Amino acid sequence: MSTNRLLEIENLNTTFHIHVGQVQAVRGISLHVDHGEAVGIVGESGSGKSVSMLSLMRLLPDYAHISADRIYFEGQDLTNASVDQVRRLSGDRIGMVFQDPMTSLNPLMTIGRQMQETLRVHRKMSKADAAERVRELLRLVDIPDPDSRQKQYPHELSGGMRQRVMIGMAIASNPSLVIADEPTTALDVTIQAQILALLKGLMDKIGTSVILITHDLGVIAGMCSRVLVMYGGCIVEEGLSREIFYNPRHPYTWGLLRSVPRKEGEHAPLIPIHGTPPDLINPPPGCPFEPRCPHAMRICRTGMPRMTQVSDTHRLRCYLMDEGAPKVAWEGGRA
Amino acid sequence: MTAQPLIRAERVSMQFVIGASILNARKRVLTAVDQVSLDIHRGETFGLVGESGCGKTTLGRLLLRLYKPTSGTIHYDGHDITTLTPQQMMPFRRRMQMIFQDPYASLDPRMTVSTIIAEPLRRTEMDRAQVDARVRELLSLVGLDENHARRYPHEFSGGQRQRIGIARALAAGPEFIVCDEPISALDVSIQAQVVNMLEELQQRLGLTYLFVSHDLSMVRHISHRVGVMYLGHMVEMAPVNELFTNMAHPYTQALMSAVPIADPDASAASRRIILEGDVPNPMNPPSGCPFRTRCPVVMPVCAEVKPELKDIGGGHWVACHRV
Amino acid sequence: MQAPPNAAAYEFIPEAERKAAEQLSRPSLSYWQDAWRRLKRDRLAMVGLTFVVLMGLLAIFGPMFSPYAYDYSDFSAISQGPSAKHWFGTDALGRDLFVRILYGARISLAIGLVSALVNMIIGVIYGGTAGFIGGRTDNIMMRIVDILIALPSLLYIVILMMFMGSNIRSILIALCISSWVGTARITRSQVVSLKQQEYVLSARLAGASSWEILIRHLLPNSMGPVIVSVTFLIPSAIFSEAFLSFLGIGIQKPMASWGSLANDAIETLRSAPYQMFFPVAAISLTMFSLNFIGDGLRDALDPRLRK
Repeated sequence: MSTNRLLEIENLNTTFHIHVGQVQAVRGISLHVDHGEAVGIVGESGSGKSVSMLSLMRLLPDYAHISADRIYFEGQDLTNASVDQVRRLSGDRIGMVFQDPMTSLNPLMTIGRQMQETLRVHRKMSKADAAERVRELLRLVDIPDPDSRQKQYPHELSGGMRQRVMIGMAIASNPSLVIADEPTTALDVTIQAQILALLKGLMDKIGTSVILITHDLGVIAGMCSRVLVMYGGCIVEEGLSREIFYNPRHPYTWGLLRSVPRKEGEHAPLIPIHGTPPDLINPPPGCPFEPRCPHAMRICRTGMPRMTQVSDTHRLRCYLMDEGAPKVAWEGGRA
Repeated sequence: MTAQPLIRAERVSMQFVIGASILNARKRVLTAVDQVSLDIHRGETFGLVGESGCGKTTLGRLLLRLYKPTSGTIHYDGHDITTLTPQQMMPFRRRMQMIFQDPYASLDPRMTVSTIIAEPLRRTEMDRAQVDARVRELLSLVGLDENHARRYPHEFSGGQRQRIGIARALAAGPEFIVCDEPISALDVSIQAQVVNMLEELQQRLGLTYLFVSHDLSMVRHISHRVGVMYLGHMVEMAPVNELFTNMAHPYTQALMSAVPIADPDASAASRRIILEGDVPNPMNPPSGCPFRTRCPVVMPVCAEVKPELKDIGGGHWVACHRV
Repeated sequence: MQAPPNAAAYEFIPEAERKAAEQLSRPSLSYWQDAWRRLKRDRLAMVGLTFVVLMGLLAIFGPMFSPYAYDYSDFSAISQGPSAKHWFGTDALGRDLFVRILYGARISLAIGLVSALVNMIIGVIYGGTAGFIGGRTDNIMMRIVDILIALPSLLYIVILMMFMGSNIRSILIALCISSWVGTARITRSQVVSLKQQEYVLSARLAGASSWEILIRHLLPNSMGPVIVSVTFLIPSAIFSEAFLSFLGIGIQKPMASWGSLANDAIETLRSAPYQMFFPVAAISLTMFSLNFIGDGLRDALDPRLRK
């Protein structure tokens, strides 16, 4: 059964087998991405947001066991694809941008050479063509004076510049999907604004879809049309951006929105979420958020809640959605 | 009656010498803090914002006399502490403390929590039993279990380690605490816990804070007065509400507009001022106003004359030729 | 299909029950305990450790149980191969080789351990001070180290021995002052990198003196790589001693060290090869074992590999 969605993942699980036990980093998540859309995955440490994308791209070490019911990308069935097959897509049809460009860029090679390498490996371009394309890419990412920049080494560039180079490398072969994992977390806020504006502009210019992974709700609000909220290896709520920010239904989402100073001019008290992020080694059965949830019920300890649809686009995993459950309202909402 | 400020810094500068060695006699000077003046009053939280390289961390350390300023003076509670020797600083050390940014590097990994927290008490006359009691008291003050005293830092999460750091800072009963980016390394849901705790402690213990951060929303939430720094200079300073509603300096405006808002409609409606280019190299700062290379409303005079902080009323000071 | 849950399932869990949940689950391990646990999993290191411990025990207690004194010559049993009476055979003067090897173990192991320890102390103090003071002093101190490293240590050990004579005391002294430079470098680089850590700043704010910071914070945290390097100093010292004794400059007769036993065995190499075999085997196996231990320690003490 083919699909005209860009990316479709069903029931992805990733478990790390280390000596103290098994770390269930990703527990049965399903998601999809359409052509030309920006999807945000928001979560904190231990939520599995980064691991899930690394699993998709098979960029995890040997002791990670990955399984899924279905993985479709551009109509191709990748569910049982080999690591090599998947890695060939990376850099070609899927571009990746990571948080710290210092570690993803080879410090011993000039920027120009690294960018050319990607092109020559994937597109078998000649040296001259690759050099021209690199110039073009540097212009696309607003790096002035591309000819002399090409000859510079990563450490000679500022953080913002390096990230632009990473983005340039990611879009080098006009991929249909760019996965950006905390691309601006390490950058100053004014530089972050530049980079996000750049990403948005590129989405329009070359029509690529973006999966943006971050812990920053503000970044999500500014960039993404759809949002997935992850906690403890599961997707606990997903929906359109407006639905998540103005009509959230999951207590974790409420907690996140309440613990961040949201509206300008308000000195509303911050209401934190008590407790600490979960330890994913041999997690207890039940909803992963239960230990910290202010509305935890007995049933929440019995097993993982199933997905409930609130609208065509909005669904969540929570026992509060059950018929027999008490009605709990969200005070910070808006129509 | 205006009480004397607890901290008064007057035209404080800090210059670091970079690159001198036996073979290379040519020294280069990095001016991390350039002629900054500020007052912090008892019981208030002074928020210090700016991006990397602006000198806010250095300024915080200067106020604690971890460095000796190259020029200018620092007064603590009326005493001039600018040039005191480490010996002479001893009586002040008890009164001023710091909370660090990195919860993973600010605790000695080889020591137990109890030893870490008790470190500031080593110079006091307290005996073993008193120290233990104080450690337990501090642990419960920051919301940690007393049984955690014998454990090691690596067993705790980032938020918990930060609390240990706070307990340590409070051990000797200080009046003034410099909080150097205390929440940037923490998860969002934990940040609120720590900020709330800091506020509560301020109420209970009458603490004075210098809250250094690049997170404008948190600074706005917790501060009474705010200072904005750029490339070692203080460019704007005002009470918090005044600053955020009547931003006068172009950098503050750009900074504010760059902060992502967790609200899709507000985000779409907001006017973004996107600054061009990167922050200049602090070792080679621009002539005149340090912000002129990126300023959207720059004028010719900005390259010639460095603007001084001007009082524009209501406790609001700005360093800009446009104002 | 399950029956729908009853009303009780939807009751909120009371606060008290939930507080209990925030316990720390894993047992508390200090740095050393964790390192030991990791070391135990390295099989080669464990084999090496067992061998060294056995050798040490034999060296201390073995000769007490042997019917032969190390210098007792039985001229009726010259250069006999290994047998039930003499496990390792006898040497050219009829002395039991097994007991001589054990004596040799005493000397070689003692020299190895003591010189490694003294080198470590000198190196740690020198390097720690240089790293901590920094600036010009550090520069000068480290340049001295650079010069010393460039000199072949064997050369000045030999020169020292020629002045002090060939005996166990002079070997010990010479070895004790010849290898501290490596440890100094390692300690210094550790201290320099750790100096910038925030917990050091915090200690300064707490009023700790420079000395206290060095002793309580910097040196304990630098110990990992230092211990690893010291573990490698032991086999290197054993080898140096063996080499000197083999050349005839070291331990003199009738005292036995492994090197001098090997020296004794040169003349009878063709006719009684076993006399050379055992001392050499002892040296090699001990050095192997110590190297395995060192490798294991390096992994066990690396904080980054901690899970």
